[in-house]
Amino acid sequence: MSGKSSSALLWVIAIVIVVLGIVYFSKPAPKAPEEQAQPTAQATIPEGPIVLGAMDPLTGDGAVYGIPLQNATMLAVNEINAAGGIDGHQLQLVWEDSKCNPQDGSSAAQKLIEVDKIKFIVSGDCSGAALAAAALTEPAGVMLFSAAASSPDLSTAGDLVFRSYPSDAMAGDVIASYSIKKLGTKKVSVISEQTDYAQGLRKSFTAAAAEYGAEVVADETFNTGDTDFRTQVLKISTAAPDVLYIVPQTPAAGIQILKQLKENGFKGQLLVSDVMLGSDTIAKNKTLYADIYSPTPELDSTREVTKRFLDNFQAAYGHAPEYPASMAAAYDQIYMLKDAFPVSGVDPLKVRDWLYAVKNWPGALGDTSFDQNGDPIIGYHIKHFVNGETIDLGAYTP
Amino acid sequence: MQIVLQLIINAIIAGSVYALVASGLTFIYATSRIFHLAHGVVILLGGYVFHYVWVVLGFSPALAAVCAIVVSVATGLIMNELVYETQRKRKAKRMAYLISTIALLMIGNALVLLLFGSSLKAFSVQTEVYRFFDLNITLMQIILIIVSTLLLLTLSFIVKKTKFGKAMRATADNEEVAEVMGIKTRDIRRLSFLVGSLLGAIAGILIGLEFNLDPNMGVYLAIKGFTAMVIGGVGSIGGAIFGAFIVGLFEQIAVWFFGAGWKNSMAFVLLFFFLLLRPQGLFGMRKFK
Amino acid sequence: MVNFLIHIFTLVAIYGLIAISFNLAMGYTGLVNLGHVGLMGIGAYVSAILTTKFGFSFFPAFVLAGISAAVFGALLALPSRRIKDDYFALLTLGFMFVTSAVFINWTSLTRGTLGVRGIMRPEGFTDPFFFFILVLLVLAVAYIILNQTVSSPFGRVLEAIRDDEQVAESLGKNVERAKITAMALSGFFVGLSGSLLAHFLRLINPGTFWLDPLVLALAAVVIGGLASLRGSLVGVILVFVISESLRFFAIPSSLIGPLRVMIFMAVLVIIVLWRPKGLLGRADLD
Repeated sequence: MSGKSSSALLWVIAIVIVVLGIVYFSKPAPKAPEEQAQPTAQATIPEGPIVLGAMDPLTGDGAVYGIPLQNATMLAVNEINAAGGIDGHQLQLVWEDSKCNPQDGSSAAQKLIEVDKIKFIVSGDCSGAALAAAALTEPAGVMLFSAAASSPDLSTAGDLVFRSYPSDAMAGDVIASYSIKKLGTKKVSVISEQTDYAQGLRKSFTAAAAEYGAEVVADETFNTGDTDFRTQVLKISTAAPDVLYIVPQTPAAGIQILKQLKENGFKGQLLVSDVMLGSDTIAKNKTLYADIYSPTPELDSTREVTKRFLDNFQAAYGHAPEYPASMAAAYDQIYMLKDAFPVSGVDPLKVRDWLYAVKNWPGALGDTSFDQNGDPIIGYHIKHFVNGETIDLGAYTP
Repeated sequence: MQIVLQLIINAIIAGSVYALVASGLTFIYATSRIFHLAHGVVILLGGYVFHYVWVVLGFSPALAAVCAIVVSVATGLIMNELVYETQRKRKAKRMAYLISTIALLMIGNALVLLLFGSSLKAFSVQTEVYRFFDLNITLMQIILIIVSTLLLLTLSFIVKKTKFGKAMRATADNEEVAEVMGIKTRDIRRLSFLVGSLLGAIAGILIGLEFNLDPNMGVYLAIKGFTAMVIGGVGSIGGAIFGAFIVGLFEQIAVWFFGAGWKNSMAFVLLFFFLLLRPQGLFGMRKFK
Repeated sequence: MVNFLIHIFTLVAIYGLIAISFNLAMGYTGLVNLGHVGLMGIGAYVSAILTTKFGFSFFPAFVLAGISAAVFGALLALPSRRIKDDYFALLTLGFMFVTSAVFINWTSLTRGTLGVRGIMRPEGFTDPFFFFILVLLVLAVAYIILNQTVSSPFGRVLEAIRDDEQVAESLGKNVERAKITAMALSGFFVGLSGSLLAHFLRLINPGTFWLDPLVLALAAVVIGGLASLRGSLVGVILVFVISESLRFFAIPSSLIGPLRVMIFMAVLVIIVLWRPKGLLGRADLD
């Protein structure tokens, strides 16, 4: 190494640091978010379009669900803009790829906050990226509104962190209660994918099942990308459970499990999580959906708003939503902001208060209210699939 | 007992796929000394092109299979010609090959993601289930096992009896001596890439039919193929088959006893002990320095 | 903008640490340790768990993170006597698979795929700028130590081992011990980088230590050149310039990820083909 060029390098680094330091400290200190928003009579939206940040896993393992959620988000945005925007302001989204990992999630959030000066970040899913982003958005006074990042950890991630899809903690209780009290099962089992979403469901399900007095006789997992589930299936059927709850991250893995269960001749009752609800998936695999229950957030297709979401999605993309429940949540998210902005302006604190105050807001997923953690309270419905036909058995509360 | 038998059947199904991958790799490694991890891309393309032509474009499965094989083989040959042979001309060292093969693998994976999208591709082929004494096997799985057995038998015949086989073994044994004997080692390497990629394409098709296609699976398949190859011993088709079965079996055992989380690590634990105790593999042609 | 730059520069500095320690094993000693990111993960998890679960303060946890990664680095060096070249690469890649499986499955300690959250920045360095300075200081110290190491007689032993292990042995060098020392040192610094990353992101999960960072570090080291610490730093800067500037082009978001990987890897292939020594490298790739 020549001394000259290396000392030049050192000088460059030193100068960069000093300049950065000067610029950084000459800025006024960021104001801590005030505890209470100042009530004002009339909210005003500044001139020009309303720009929101958006992040989803658009590449890597997470893209399988990230891109569908991006589509659902954009459907709502396009509908609103086509109808004249929000009080005449067009809605504009700046997309970043969270890659579903904390490092890219935090870089994406930092870029949206700092470079694009964005006050609201909507994100479809992926709890890991959302949690890392929350560490940056919360102190910056930016609202992080996540659709389907369902990890229970996100409940306590911050005051400006909201989501439109219920926490896994709630789902597990409903499912365990339904299978034990209504279906009368005593020995339960679960097979789940090694992702934060599926593991969250698995944990709350097994905990609730134990609480209701059932025995968890098999608790199997599989890795993302696995296609051979025969040994897990063999292990589960050897344990002879009354019911098996299948929690994949993607329908493809779930279908493969159903297929291999059928090959094995598994006799227990089957339950699936809501990623298996896609009507295209069901239509293609009628024989596999012979007799399956799925307790999921409302998503009542007889409601007008739910029907509008499903129909418009079909019209816009040429196929039914792949993950109807979480995609409805992503769609609702944008419409909630649309309702909030004219009242509270583009101000995270006021929108926060608006969201806390809202009661039974009619969304595509269901009537939505928020608890003190910014988690939605949505009723659960039980869906029953009989030979590929979906029967909605109505609301269920544990 | 019945469970043990079912586990063995499951291992044979998984193992026959790994065997196709491993024996393709053993050809390539024996003649070129390249740890051709980018073979994963060749397999991926086989499966994806097959799916695309058959399911998306709606042509007959036979035509789809031909297209898949052509694309895969072409990819394998192009990688060899453009990258590896250029490196060889420049007297590249081992690590340079390793870096370039990792790079090719990543480029190929990204390309598959761009061309075919991130969603898993399923053929939803469901075939009859046969039950013998409470053991389950489907028609598709029987076809899979038969196809790979036939292919591997043909292959070992080629290696043992034909002129190409002899030339290949001579090249694997010592490249310089082979050149002196008048064998064009460059052509032998090309042929090995051709045969290896052909096996990879068929593996890809079968994997697509029996399992699903996932853009990330190439990496795992290549790594498991190598593990099987190293366990069995480089340059031995029988070794590759045996190694593949061992990897398949230990994966099933890992799932049964420790849970699926340890499945992908199991092959490496096995590899570690084999490398330490018997570096030339079970049926290796020779020792490595 | 400033905060975003500081964010990226902090990441660059952390990856700089990963790359120079990678180069010590790969470029100077000839051990292609593809498990480098696994060692980093060990450091990150040790530091994260000690501070969040056992009430350690940052600096002891930071040092322990380095030490535990160093121990595993040394262990990885042990079989390198019998297992060489491609086989060593394959085996160490396997090590990364195993560490990842441990992070996922040891749920009582690591919380599995949910990850460890609530990791705090060290006291006095909670401000992004000061944390950046801290990372930079660690990088500078690591650079000086590694630079001293590779230009010392010990460094020449390492290069002799890389060039020809048998010759080095016949010259009476203790090859075994030199390799273990090099891997331990490499592990120590990458463990520190893992700890820094954990406290920087404040949340880690198994996906943080998977193929992405490995590809990034490998690209940086090979582009910068083997056996050149300065080259590795230049390589990291280049890699980040390429990937971060892609954010500002109007590329459809669904293309960005695959495109980024393809650009990196194509550059990598071209460099391996036309300039096997990389930009500033001194050693050939063997």
